[in-house]
Amino acid sequence: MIAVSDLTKKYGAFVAVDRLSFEVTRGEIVGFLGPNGAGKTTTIRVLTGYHPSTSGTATLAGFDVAKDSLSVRKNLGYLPQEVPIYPELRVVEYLRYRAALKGVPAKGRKLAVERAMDKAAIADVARKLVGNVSHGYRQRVGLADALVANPPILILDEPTSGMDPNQRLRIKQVVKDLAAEHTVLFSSHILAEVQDVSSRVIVIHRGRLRADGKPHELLAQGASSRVFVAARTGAQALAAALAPVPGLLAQASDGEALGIARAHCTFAPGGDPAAAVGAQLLAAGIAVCELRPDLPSLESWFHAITEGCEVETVR
Amino acid sequence: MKWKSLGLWVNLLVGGALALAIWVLMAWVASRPALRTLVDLTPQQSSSVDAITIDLLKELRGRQADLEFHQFYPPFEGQAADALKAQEFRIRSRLRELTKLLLLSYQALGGDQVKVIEHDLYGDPQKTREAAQRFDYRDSAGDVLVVAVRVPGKEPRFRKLSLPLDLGRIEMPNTAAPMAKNQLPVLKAFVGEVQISSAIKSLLVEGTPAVYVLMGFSPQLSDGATGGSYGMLFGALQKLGFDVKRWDASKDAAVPADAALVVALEPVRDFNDKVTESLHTWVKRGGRVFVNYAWNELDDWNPTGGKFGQLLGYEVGARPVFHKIRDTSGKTGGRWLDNDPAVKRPELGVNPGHPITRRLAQSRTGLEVRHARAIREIGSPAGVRRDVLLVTGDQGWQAAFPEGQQDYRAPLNVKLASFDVGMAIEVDVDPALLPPDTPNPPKTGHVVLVAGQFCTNEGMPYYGDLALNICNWLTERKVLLDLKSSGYEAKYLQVQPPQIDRIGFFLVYGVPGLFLLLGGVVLYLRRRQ
Amino acid sequence: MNGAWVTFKKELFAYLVSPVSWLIAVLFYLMRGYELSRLVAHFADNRLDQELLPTLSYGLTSTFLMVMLVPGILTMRCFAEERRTGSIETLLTAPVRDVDVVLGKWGAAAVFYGLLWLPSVLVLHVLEYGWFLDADLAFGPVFAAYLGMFLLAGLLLAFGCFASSLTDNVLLAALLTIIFCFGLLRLPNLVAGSVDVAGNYYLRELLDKLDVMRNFAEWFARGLIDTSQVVFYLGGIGFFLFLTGISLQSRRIA
Repeated sequence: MIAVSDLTKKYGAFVAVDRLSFEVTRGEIVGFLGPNGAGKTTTIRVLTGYHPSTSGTATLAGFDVAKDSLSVRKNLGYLPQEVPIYPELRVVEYLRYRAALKGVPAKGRKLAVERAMDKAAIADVARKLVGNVSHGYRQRVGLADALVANPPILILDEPTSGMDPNQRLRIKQVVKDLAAEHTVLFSSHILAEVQDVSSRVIVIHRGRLRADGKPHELLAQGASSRVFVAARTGAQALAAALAPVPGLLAQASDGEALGIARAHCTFAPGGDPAAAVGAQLLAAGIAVCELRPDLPSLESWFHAITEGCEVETVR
Repeated sequence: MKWKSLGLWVNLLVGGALALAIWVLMAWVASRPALRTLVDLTPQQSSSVDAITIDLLKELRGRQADLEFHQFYPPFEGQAADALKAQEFRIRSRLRELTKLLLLSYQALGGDQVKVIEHDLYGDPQKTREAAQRFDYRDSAGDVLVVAVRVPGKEPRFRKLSLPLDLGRIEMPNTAAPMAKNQLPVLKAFVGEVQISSAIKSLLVEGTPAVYVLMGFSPQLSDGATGGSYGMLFGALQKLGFDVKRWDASKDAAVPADAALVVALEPVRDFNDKVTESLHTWVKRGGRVFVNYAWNELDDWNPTGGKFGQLLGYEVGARPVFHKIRDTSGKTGGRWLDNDPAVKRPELGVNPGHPITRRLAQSRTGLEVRHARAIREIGSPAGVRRDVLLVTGDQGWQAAFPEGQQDYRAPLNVKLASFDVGMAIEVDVDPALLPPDTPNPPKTGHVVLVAGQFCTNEGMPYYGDLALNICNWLTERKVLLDLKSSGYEAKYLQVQPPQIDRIGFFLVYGVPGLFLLLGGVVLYLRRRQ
Repeated sequence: MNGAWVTFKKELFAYLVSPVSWLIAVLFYLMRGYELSRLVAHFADNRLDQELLPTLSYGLTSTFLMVMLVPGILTMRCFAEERRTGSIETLLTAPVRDVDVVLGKWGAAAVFYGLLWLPSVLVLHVLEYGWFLDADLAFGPVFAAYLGMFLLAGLLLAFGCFASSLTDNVLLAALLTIIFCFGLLRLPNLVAGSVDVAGNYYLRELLDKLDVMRNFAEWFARGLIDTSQVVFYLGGIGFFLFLTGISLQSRRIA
């Protein structure tokens, strides 16, 4: 449904997107990942026809973004990073207006608006003025707007930013449910958001494609596994106890406080390092207070896969 | 990729420039006189013009003639002290307004050949003075519209139209009526189009009309600068666009072919048969003649009209008409006095109905003539209509000088009476005399008689308007005078103080209050969830 | 055209529920009411020709303010506000053509401006009743003036849309428009005062056309509709709307 090839976008001398190519097929939910300033929003804006590309092509639903922008836009639901504010309109009025603008026939408009509000869980603020609802709600109003015309393709730019955990959960569920009838591309800079929902992840940095694949595969691929452990013992003792764990590449002590020592361990990919560490410490008779896989932050993981070096011990 | 974006910018700039060009072109094409149309929604269509005027302006364009309207509107002097003065100001400003409105139509229809200029002495003194000099305009003439036409290859010519006297019809209260004191003059109608179009037509169509001064019957006639000469009259006529020529009837008795008007000033002999014959035939073919008789001290220099008079049905008395003068000092209680040289200059009443004297009547300028004589209707020749223009008061007599002595006393044995001293004679055209293929044949010929000196160099500054009026009117083409004009009529509000109060309340509190209320309701409804 | 119609409806609705609009209406009619009642009293005192009343009612200061200040206030938010809040992105990624958006927004501003003036006509009609003036007023000039005001405002609002599309600063957009209005109202006089206009036909014609306030006072408000002026205004509206479209397009270059 979405095909991007050799897409380049320059602002003067600055290259925001550099020869980006990827594809999204029907029914996929694709997370579009990258740190701030990676070129996510720029790419999305090219895809939505808001900005033209400098070179390269992009087609949505078979229509070229540059040549047939209107047809592209008809097949597209878009939630921008900046959620629209028409403070003088009520939520339901806003959605009705957007539905009309997107060519939803007058007959089914009311139903379409109700359905979209239902999906985005904003029925309770329907009669409030857009200007008076909270940021999270506004984000969901934007989502409802993207859904209202029931377009085959959805592009969501940072849909969960500014939401509280409950709302996030809700949105993630909504996005998952969309998979049935829509193709979704949504961007985020938080790996965890993407992991839960998407069937595939595309990672870009400095405008370049860095990774493309299933989330767990990607993590497993490039990154080593890390484990965080806290045990009721001395720092020295902990280090000694951990040393024999198979596959251990490095460990860094986190110091000792109140009789509890903490350490980050890095293991070679593969295996189940946390289980190995647990077994080792149990065997050593050390009481384990806390033991968890220490997932890399997107930043470090990303750093790893882009710069090609090992994951550092990051605090 | 810089070039690509530069190219786009250039594209947009070119697009913008193109759009601007289209806009300018649209506006230019739409203001071509041929495409330009005026929709007149003014009250009483006071700006609409007749088809004749539209044709006239088309003709103007066709001949590449320039038309200028110069408006001289001297500022109102001081405050209106009384109701009469205030009303005069109002009428004047309304007339200005209506004139400007009408001129907009001329301007719209005439395109770039028509200029409408409003002179403002305070705004641009230099130009105003130049224009005033060019058109011989003085502030005392009041609100004046000058219509100036310049046909390529011809001398520029102009005509002055007074707003209150020519363009407006002002109804004066009847001063004899008992309630006269409280009555004000009222602007009844506005006949601007008839006047302006007629002026343009006459300036445009006739070329330079030739005024022929009949020589051979007035040996004393001179165009010099002395008091009794006619130099100023001729100068004024030339300035108005007339070509002043002489017709020496002793050499050629036939009226010159290009004559628009024949003027005979103070003839001392009756016209001889040949001249009478040719003048009369000319009048019967639509010609125009102005004869200004005056009494002469030499007994046998007082022609009575002779054969020409008989043909047209008038006779001029041989003796001068004197008239008692009103005592303005009040010592005698308003009696009429005689035995004073002033009786030689009778004050005349003018016919307010005739176009020649109408404006004189309206402006209420006094008219005095010297050496007046009485004009009497005699007989009733067929196809001739006579109309009195000037008449003395009813205290006049025809003086007799038994011993060559001037006697200013009213004769006791004769009843004092009023005498006609001016007459307009309209003569039906005899189609048989016209060349068979004359286009637009005239219907009438005209003769205007005044028996009394008034347009010599002495009289011109005071009564020159009358002489020029006569010449203008006589040479004017009549075709335009019957064009359908909108004939604007003024309406006045009658509002009582309680009504004013109600209006003030409604406008100041009612309407904004309503909006406040409505706005409040709307905003309240919006605030509600 | 669906896009234009939908945009138009939404924008008009937004105007109608905006407190600013109601504030403008109240202030305008307060001032106008005061001026008009003074004018009526003046007519009654001085026995002026009543046919002039509707015409002169368009020469009041409130008219001048309405022409000079209000277009800027109405259009300042058209695009500048959308750019500032980012809602322009949703608007322009919806399946509507730019031209529809421009037309819809301008149309709403123009119609709303027309609605602001409509009560002034009704007020004159109400004044005709016996309770007030008890006179038949001439409505030709009123309708012509209404049309003229609509065209003039259309031009100014089209410029306002353009100004608003240039910047994301609402106040700057308003200021630009007000300067434009003021310039259009004053410039022809200034030029005519400093250059010999009478001799140059094209300059004179240009100034005549650009002298919008005089055209309004001496033509439309008197009841005269000159088709060439109508074409001029329509062309100007088209021109500035085209520029607005161009300006929207240019965001694709940025």
